[in-house]
Amino acid sequence: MWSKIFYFAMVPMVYAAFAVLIGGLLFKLAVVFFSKKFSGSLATYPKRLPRPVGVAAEAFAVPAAWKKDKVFWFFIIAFHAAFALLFIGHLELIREFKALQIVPHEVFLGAGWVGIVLMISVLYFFFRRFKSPWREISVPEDFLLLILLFLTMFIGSHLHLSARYYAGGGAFDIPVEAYREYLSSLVAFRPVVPSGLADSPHYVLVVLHVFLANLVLMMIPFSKVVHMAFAFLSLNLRRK
Amino acid sequence: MEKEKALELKKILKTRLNRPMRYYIDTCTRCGLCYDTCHAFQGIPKKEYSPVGRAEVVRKLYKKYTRASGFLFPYGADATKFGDTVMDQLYEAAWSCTGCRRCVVNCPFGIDTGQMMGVAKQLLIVNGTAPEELVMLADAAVEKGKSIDQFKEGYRNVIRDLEKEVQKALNLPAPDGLIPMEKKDAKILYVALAGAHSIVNPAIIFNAARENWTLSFFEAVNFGFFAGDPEKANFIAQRIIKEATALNVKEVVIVECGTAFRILRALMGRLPFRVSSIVEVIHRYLKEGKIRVKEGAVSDAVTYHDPCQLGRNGGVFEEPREVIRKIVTDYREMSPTRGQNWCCGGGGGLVALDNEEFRIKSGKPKKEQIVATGAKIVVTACENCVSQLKTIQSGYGLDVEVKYLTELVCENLDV
Repeated sequence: MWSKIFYFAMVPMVYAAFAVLIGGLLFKLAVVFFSKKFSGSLATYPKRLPRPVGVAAEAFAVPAAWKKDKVFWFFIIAFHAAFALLFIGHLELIREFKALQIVPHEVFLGAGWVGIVLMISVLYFFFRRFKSPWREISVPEDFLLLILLFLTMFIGSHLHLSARYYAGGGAFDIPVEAYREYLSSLVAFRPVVPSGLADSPHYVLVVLHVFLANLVLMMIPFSKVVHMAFAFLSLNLRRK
Repeated sequence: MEKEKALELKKILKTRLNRPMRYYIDTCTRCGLCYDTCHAFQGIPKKEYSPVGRAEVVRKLYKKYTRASGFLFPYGADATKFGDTVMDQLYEAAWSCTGCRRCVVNCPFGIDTGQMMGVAKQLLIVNGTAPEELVMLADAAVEKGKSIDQFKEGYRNVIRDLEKEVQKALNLPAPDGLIPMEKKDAKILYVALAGAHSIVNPAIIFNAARENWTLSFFEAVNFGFFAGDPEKANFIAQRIIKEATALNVKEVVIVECGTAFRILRALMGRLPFRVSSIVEVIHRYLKEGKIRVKEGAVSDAVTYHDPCQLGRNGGVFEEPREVIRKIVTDYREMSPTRGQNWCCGGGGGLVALDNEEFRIKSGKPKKEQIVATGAKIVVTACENCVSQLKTIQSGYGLDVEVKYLTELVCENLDV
């Protein structure tokens, strides 16, 4: 029974999650591009930088937050930078990318700091919402999303840290090769859950991590996380 | 609320779901960076007057009716159905927003709360709870557009009287033709407001510059836009566009009215003529030497209030400053300024409503800015701003004089 549930989370649900993520994002973008354009200009002034540079600067450097709340800005940047590293780290769990080893590092990259930075940032975002005025403008979705992200990152971080730093070695160490065998089989559409994963005492945590990550992926197109795509489009409007 | 009414409102909500609105509904993370960027919130610190507080009222309706998540898990997104409570919330949100768009420049995603309030205003019209005064003014403007010939003769008589004032100011021999009307192939069509000051001062400037111009039969102000009725707003703007096209003018010059300027310059798409503000034209005349002012004639400390629709939303920042600096010896900049300047609280049609107490409170940041400059004269280039600045001046007992830019120029014109 449990093995079937675990397999469901590790294989069919992963495919379903990516299908929902990609399909959802494409659907959202298609709906946007087929909806009525605004005929005039929604520009604001002064415009100090040319449009593409200005949009990129506002999206990646978040000057609106820098001007207003430097602590918040710090955590926004820390979170998004760590998220980019998290993405690269997971790519390296599929197979080795020589280009990513320009700066030689052990997989998973960041020596554990990526997960720690993400968790601290998420906790900051979470507890910030307990305080007025952010408490008044928050809706349940805001908290649920942050809880989901925190749990996913906490388990992922635990898996990484225990494998990397557990002094006893052996039992808790799921080798990188096991992750690569599993993830590359998913990418190749010949899914297997290797014994290196399935026989580990940590397998239940791997399943839980994948399950929660699946939920996060499926939520992206239908929650405010869609700002990862829409932020550029709405910032572009301000400079048109 | 009756089911039929809710269905009608739902229909409006969906028709307004254009491309920008889709971004604004889905992108907001409720980070709260905009929270205190609204002048109304500065004066009355409650959530309902914060940009995100306002936008959320509209967003929750969209979530309920246009998002699967809002339909399936309304609690998660705090999605809301149409009802009397939400309509009251929409009223408070929409009619406390001047559409100054200061929140837009302080939002990390550029979310335009003013656009969302446009939806709220239209919903209020359909619900029958929009401010009657604005709806009536919009209707009157539409009616004038439909039957302009009935108004022409009366208007010409008024203009004849005003021509005498122009003659007197410029010390000319005769008043005839100083305010031309229906002049085909004129270079400029000037669109004024109902008040005589909005015609006489610019007419003095145009005549001093020996401009080939003509006066529009229509007033520039767009009560359809203020009321939040897109059809009437478009009709009112089209009256001017049609008149300009029929007269074959090269440039339409808009009176000191920020919203009228922005509507024609930025919101009506590509037009067969140039759209300028009278402020830009005065600046151009000074630069080209077509008019001269008495340089350094005013020694009192003077500050300039950027009308939001002219500055932050129209990009006209430097022209008025350069004009003022020519006339005054002690120019003082407000802080913050330009894109971050505080709205005075009179825009978006608010100044036409019976809400003086609210406007005095929401004008608090502007009052503080003016006081900090120590200026004796506040110059601006927008009718709504002048009215609101005068309300702030009397409400807080400020020892300042509020002036139109055209007024300052005409008083110091070197003719």
